[in-house]
Amino acid sequence: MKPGNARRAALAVLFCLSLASVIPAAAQDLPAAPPAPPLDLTAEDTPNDRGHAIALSWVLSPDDDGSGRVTGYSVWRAVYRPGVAPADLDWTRVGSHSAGYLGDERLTHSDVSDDIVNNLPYLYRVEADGPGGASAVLLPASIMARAQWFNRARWNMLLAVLVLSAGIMYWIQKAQTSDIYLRPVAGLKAFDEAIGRATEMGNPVLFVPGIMDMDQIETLAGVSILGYVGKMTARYETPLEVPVSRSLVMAHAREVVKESYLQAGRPDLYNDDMIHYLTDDQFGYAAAVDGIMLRQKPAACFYQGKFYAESLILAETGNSIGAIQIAGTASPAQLPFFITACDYTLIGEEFFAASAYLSQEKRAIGSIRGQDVGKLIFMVALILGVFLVSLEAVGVRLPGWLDITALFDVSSGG
Amino acid sequence: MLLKRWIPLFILVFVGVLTLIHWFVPHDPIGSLGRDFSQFFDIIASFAIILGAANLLKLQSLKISQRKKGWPFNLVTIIAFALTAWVGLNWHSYFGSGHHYLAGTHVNNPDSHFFWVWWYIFTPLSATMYALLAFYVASASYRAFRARNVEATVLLVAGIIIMIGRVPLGQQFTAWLPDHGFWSGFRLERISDWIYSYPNGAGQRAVMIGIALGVVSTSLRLILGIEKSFLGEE
Amino acid sequence: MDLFEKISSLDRRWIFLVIALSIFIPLMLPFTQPLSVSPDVRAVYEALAALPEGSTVLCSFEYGPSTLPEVHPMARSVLRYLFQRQHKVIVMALWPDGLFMSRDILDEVAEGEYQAEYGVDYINLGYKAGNEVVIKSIAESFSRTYPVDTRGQSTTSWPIMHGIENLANIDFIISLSAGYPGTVEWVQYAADPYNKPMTTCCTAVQVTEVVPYVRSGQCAGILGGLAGAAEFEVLLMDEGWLTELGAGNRGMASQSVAHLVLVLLIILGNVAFYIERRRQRKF
Repeated sequence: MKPGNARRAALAVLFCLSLASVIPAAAQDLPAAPPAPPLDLTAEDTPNDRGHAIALSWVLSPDDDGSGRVTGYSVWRAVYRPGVAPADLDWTRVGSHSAGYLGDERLTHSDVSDDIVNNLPYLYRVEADGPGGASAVLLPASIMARAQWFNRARWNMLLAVLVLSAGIMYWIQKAQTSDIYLRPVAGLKAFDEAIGRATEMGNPVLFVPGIMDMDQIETLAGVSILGYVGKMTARYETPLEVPVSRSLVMAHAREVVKESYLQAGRPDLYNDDMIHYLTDDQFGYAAAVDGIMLRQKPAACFYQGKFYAESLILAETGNSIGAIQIAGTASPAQLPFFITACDYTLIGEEFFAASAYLSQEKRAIGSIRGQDVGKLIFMVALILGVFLVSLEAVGVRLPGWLDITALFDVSSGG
Repeated sequence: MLLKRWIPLFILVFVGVLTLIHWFVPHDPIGSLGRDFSQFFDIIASFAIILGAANLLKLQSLKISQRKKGWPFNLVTIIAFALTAWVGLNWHSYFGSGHHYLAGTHVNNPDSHFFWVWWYIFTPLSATMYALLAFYVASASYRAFRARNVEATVLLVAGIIIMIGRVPLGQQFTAWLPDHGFWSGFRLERISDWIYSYPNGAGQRAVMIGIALGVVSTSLRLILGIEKSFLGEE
Repeated sequence: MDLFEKISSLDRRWIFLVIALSIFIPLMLPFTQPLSVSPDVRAVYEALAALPEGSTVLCSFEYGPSTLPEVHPMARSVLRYLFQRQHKVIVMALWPDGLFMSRDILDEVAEGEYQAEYGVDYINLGYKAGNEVVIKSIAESFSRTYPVDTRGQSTTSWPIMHGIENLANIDFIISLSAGYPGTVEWVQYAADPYNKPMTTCCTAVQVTEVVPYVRSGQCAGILGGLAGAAEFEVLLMDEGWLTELGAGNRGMASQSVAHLVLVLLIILGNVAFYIERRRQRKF
């Protein structure tokens, strides 16, 4: 044992004795003595965080056997001051745990608080509390909380982001000098047909940009598509109706549609009331949009954004009025409803690609190719991963660097 | 141009990059900035409700003043809006006497008028709208669930097995099969669980991975300033 | 128009009527059928049963009045089990509506059935705006995220919150979810990064979305919709934690008949479609 550790251990014993010495008078009147203290208290700086956190762990008191001698544990913290006896430190109770954990397992406690100053040494003690009093175990050495500059548990995610981003950026660059083929997406081709039909019938086009706010990327993608639809309705002089369920979406969609009408050379056709707010409430909104559909009988309905259970209510009402319906969403649970009730549905990634596809901007199309390459990488990695895990499952010993389960342990915080 | 293009783009790129970095760098100030940005959004969105409410009232009033078709319903909307706002904002609005609630906690107290409006008006209205799904699911399934080709037939059979296998009456069809052993795997509830777990689980994962890649690609386009259509540009 | 054409393009109002009757009649004349418990429901029970008595469980209410008939029966059964096992229950809401849902169910179960003491056995922290940011925030501190509870009192003043600084001090998370923010956010921002065990009670529509997280082990089992509630009630009854079946099983008669009627309608539609198609080929 190093001299420093020996001194700390001796201090710990002294401290426990001093703590126990305050109890005897009362103990004589109590049927039970203080329980045995917990054992082997350890502490470490919580890894991969902004500091201000210490992870503690200890072995349960031997008396914590369900007999009631231990009712719980209290965790105490104090700033460590060299040369000051632990008993004289300014202790603060920072946590408690209930008893009842039988067996010899360790109990853990995470002390996270802005009161913990980074890079300042702290001491901890854990008390086993019972009807007979309390007995404590002291941390043998002080501990400091530190902030980390990199979350090592997320290295695999960083790698994936870098590879994907590099791939997408490469193809964005490459797209400027070469032509990239995009497979035809039926739903996107149908945009013109739907708006053309509305024009022929003289009925409005209804556009629903989902029910979520601007912090959802689906809403951004939906509003981008609205820009394209706005240009078309401006060109064809077809009325456009955009009921929204979020105020910020309303403000933003107005700017986008106004710009579209300007670019189409028809700013005179634009007015702010085309895009109007209804309510934030999901089903209140669905009811109001249903009402608009039944009263105005739009010939084309676009549902592009983030949707929940209102998806089918909207799409079935649209179906009942005989409108051409084109949906696009990245909400997996709503896709089946839209596919069933709408004429065309942009599924997940098609929906995100729509704005690039419709604009035909070269760099945007390049990003879609990059995305596809990313998908290929994922597919290869999945097949390889399944293969290696299957090998492990049948007992083949793999070298450490190929140990997939250790590399991508879900509990590691990735 | 500066106000409508460059400043929004700068904010987007700055916040976007920092939010990405904060996922990997826990150290302050980067670590806490990521969270703060999300809270900034919530604060802005909360205040923006005033914009929406004003727009709603303006349009409804316009329809009433112009006596457009169905204008009494617009009147109902305005009255409902005003009453709900009043009982929500006024924490002295309660049934009976002797109540003194803190502002904010009154919405959660059964004696308050707001609680009554919420529980006895809003709740049944919301439940009614959601309940419509049962009917719409039925009509949509009847119309669209047709064995037009092989894929549609597989979908149809899987759908029917899940519909039957998830309810006790349906489970009775194969209740005669043993509980354990090889043949138990043919009980409808087991097949239904299997479909949920494997073909559906695999499909969901594929869709989720595709969506995640789409999100990465769209985010990159936004951060790099390639995607400007959300600003109303090509 | 002959019979098959009529069946093939049946007015949807007839379908609405048939479905309404198939739900309404069994509600009025209920019957019970033995129900088999699925492995995912059993997994939820086993995860909860593995908790030592007196554990601290966080229940997050993320549903509103629209999905009340689906999620409330699950919430009721789960809370009954938690109070019987004398766990400490911390309730919060990520949806504004969730506040009212939690209040209703706590009044009924905690105060009505178990006479649990507020602030000692359970606490209702209420709703906080911010969606997943709230989850990230309680991962650092409950008291900073929720300085006061639904009664307007300081959260730290209640005995149940002593020693509960943040998510690290929570033993188990239960997400009662009907959408966003909900189970998926709890997995992504709490269960996975902090290695916390959790489970979900969600609407039937959400099940397909949550299944991948259940298969990956990030979410222990799943109670899905009214059927999930009914199965969990059966399991709790078999294990001796319940004396009678609840709303989940009462709704099963309606759901059973409605499912079967829908299947019959789909088959009928397909038969008509098939005959019509054969005729068209002949011509």
